[in-house]
This record gives sequence, structure tokens and C-alpha cells, in this order.
Amino acid sequence: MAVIQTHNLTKYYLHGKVLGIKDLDLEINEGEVFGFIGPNGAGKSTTIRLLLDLIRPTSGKAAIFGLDVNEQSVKIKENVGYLPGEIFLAENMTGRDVLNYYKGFKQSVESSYLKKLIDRFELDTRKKVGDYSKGNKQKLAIILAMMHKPKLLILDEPTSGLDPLNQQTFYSLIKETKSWGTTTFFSTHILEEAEKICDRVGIIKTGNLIQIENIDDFRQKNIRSMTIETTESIPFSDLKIAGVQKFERTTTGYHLTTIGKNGEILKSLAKFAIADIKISEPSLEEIFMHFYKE
Amino acid sequence: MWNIIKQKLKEQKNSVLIYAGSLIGYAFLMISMFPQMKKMDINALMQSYPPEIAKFFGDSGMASYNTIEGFLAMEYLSFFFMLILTFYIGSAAGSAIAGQIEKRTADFNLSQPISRTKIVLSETIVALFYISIIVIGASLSVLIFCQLFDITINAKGICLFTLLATLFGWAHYGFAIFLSSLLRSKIGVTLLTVGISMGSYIFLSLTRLVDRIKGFENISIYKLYNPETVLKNASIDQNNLLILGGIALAGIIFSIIFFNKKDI
Repeated sequence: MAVIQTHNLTKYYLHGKVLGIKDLDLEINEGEVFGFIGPNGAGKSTTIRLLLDLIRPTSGKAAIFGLDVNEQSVKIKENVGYLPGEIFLAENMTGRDVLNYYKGFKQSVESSYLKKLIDRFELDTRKKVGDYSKGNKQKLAIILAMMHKPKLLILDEPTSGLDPLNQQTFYSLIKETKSWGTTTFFSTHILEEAEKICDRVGIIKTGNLIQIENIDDFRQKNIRSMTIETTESIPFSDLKIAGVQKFERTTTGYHLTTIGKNGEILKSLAKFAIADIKISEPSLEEIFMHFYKE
Repeated sequence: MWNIIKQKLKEQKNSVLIYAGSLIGYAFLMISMFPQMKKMDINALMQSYPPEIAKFFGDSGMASYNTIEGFLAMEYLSFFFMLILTFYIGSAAGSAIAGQIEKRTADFNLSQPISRTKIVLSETIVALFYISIIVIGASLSVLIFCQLFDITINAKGICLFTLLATLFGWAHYGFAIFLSSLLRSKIGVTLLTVGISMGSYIFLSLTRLVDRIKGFENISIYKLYNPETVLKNASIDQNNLLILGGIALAGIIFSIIFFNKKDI
């Protein structure tokens, strides 16, 4: 059964002058972890805000659990946990007050599970929200989103502000929620994050959904950015190897964008006097530029 | 809904105490001054001023300055009382919708399983309750201070004034919450509410002075608020109460309609 379903979902801002998203068709199944990847301004947050009925579509429809998101938003939200990229809460309330306040909206929250979440993130709930660091606010937001064991998690750039240790705690929590059937829809611009926890990813750019890919296919692409430091001149013919999508001369050597395994490329570079090679994940913009040009 | 009401009651408690405290303090000051003011020959003083000045202060001019009802109406209840109350109303209504959007707390609140209508109603219940508390507190203090200074005041008049001022405050809230559903700034809502209310008061006063706008006094909401008459005659025009209640209700309904259609 599709937990989230959108049909031709379109949103324009400023009386049609600014495009949010256009003709979005999505179907996310029960128990799936779906990553929505795109650069800033691509339409990720617009989609989330439409699903949460914070904004209304210009045209098209969206449904969660088979219910219309505009007509039956309250019923839908009983089973949804939302985590914004940056949470804004009343600064003069303590963490505990905030948890108690939002508990009041939920049908049931298991105290033992809530305590477990607080302990897991080592959050001091006696402190006022105003005194929390950005990371601690994000931890509180994660607990708020998950405390009622929702059937659907909608997460907008969930790990922003979290240190690597807490990011791992978060990833393992997502895996746990998946094991009891929770569906997760989350937006991110961090590829590694999507590769780690997603079953499928949707690539979105300037308001248009370009492609939906299975995470294994996506992983196999292994898109990498290779920076070669050398004083020697490498003939371009030697860089035209299978897997090299793009190469360019830089002030300190060469820059390559590659796809797939890098073994062949490294072998052919071995005959040159290379001072250093740095292989990293390319920026999202770079990926979109070369692989999702549409 | 109950958790929003509980939280808002707690959040606004201190500011309500400050608003009510300042009104009570001002009432004490005015009532303590009244015995001295009564001894002054106000009519002789007024005759030395141009007649427009007397007109500006209302139908009876300053003639009723020698009675506690007239004195309080002129020096306290007509302007200062409403100014303070309107600041609270503007601020409460402003933070109910516009302030939440401005601070971006609305995003997370609206992701909870509660309708926008219930959010507005919860905020409204708290604001209407606190408006009543401020008005009742201020009116009670007038009775107590009059007793303290051996001044006789019509208790029934005070009771009816409490009813009128409460409804007048609620009507202001109706207007303010409607503004809050349209704007995205709490301070904007507060200043517009206070500005329009005070503008309305000044307009009513000017209709007595400027011939060209004579007959337009019904445009001003202050036409429905006449503390001096209510205190003195201990009677109230029920139509005024109905109109004020209607304004409050219409404002709340329109704010719910607009908030429900609004993109956050």
C-alpha cells in the first residue's frame, strides 16, 4: 500500500511567479525509507510543507495513508512525526515542558520509550530551549518526532546540526523504526546519508522530479570527484578512460569527475609523476550538472 | 486544545499581571487625587478655555468633572484604560497567529494533529478570559479605592461598565485576531490594533469639533463605549452590547477562515 501518493502536485509562489514544484508524481510504499535529494531551492521543503498541509497546492493532489492531505490533515497527523531542518520552539520552556506540551497532542506516548529516546541522545531536559545548542535543539526535535512511534516520519534535512556520533544514533533509530514498519520520507543534500539509510531516492532539481532510483543502482554509479596534484603534463588522451565523465586542468594538476570503479583510472595514472590524489564525493551541484542535466 | 490553553494561560500570566497592575496603580492615583480635584472650580477653569476644548471632551464637556463617575470616565476609563487594554489585546492576538508565523513556531505546531480552527479558538479563549480578568480587576480596584477614600460610587454602574468594557475589549480582540490572520508580524498587529483604536477615539472627538465630519461618529467604535453615561446612569444600551459582541464574533470567524486558507 502506498503511504504517500502525489499526483501532478504543483506549487507556485507569488501568484505564479516563483515555482516551488511542478507535476510531482510520487508513490512511497509502507516501510520504505525514501530520500528526496536535491540542492537548495530544488523544492524539497515545498513538497514536505505540502504534505503537512502547511501550504496549499496550486494544482494536483497529495494523499497520506490514502487520505487527502488538505481535507483530512488532522487525522493524518495523528500518525506522522515531523522533523524540521531547524526547529523553532518557545525559548523560555524547558526541554521537559516542551515534551509534555507536545505529548498533549498525541493519542499515546509510552513513557518508557520516551525515556529511552532521551537517554539515547543524552539530552538534558531540565535546560531551557533557549539555552540549548543547535545540536541539542535538533536532538529534542528528533525525540518530538519519534516519541509517539508514528507510522510515517517526514524529515527535512534531519541531521543538520548533529555531531557524527549523534548522526549514527539517528541512522540506527531510522533503521529501528523501519523494522516495525514505519515509512520514512526525508529530504537531504548529503548523498552519503541517502546511500546509508534509503531504499530509494528521488532526485529533484528546480522543482522537477528528475528520476527515482533504487539505492543499489544509485550506489553503483559511485560518482566521485578526483583531484590530481602533479607538475607533469598528462595528455588528455590518457585521461579519456572509461568512467571519466569530465576532466579539466587546474592550477595544481587535474580535476576529474568519475563514475563506477576507479581501478582502471588509477592504473593509467600510475605512469605519471603524481604528487597526490584526493578522491571525494562531488558536490550535489556537480552531480546534477553532469548526471541529471534534464 | 486543552494543552494549548494551559500553556497560553501560563505564558501570558506575568504580562497580564503587569497590564492589570498598571491599570490598578493608575486607578489608585486618580481616585486619591479626586477629593482635591473636586475642590477646584472646573467650570470657571473651562470657561477660560475656548469652547472647542470642552467639546473635545464629550457631550457634557467638563461639567461632570466634579463627580467621581465623570472624573474617572474622563481621566481614566475613556482613554488610558483602553490604551493599556488595547496593548494587551494587540499583543495577545498578534502572538496567536502572526507572531507564530514570524517566529516560525507555527511550522511545528501545525504539524501536530490539531486543526487550525482549534488553535485559533484556544488562543481566543485565553485572550477573552484575560481581557475579562483585566477589566474585572481594574473595576474591582475602583470600588475598593473609592471605599478607601470615602468616595461614593454607583456600584451597579461599575458592574455595567465592567460588562461594557469587557465586550469592548472582546470586539477589539475580534479585530486584532483578524489582523493577525492577515499579517506576519506580531508587532505589526499590536501597533495597528492600538493605532486604529486610538485613531477611532480621536476621530470621535473630532466629529464634535469639525463640521465636515459631523454625523460620521458612528464610524468610530468608541461611539459604542460611553463609560461616563454607564457609570452615572447605571444603565446600558443593549444594542451597543450586541454590536460589540457581533464585531468580536465576526472578527474571530473571519480570522479562522483566513488562517485556514493561509500558506505558512
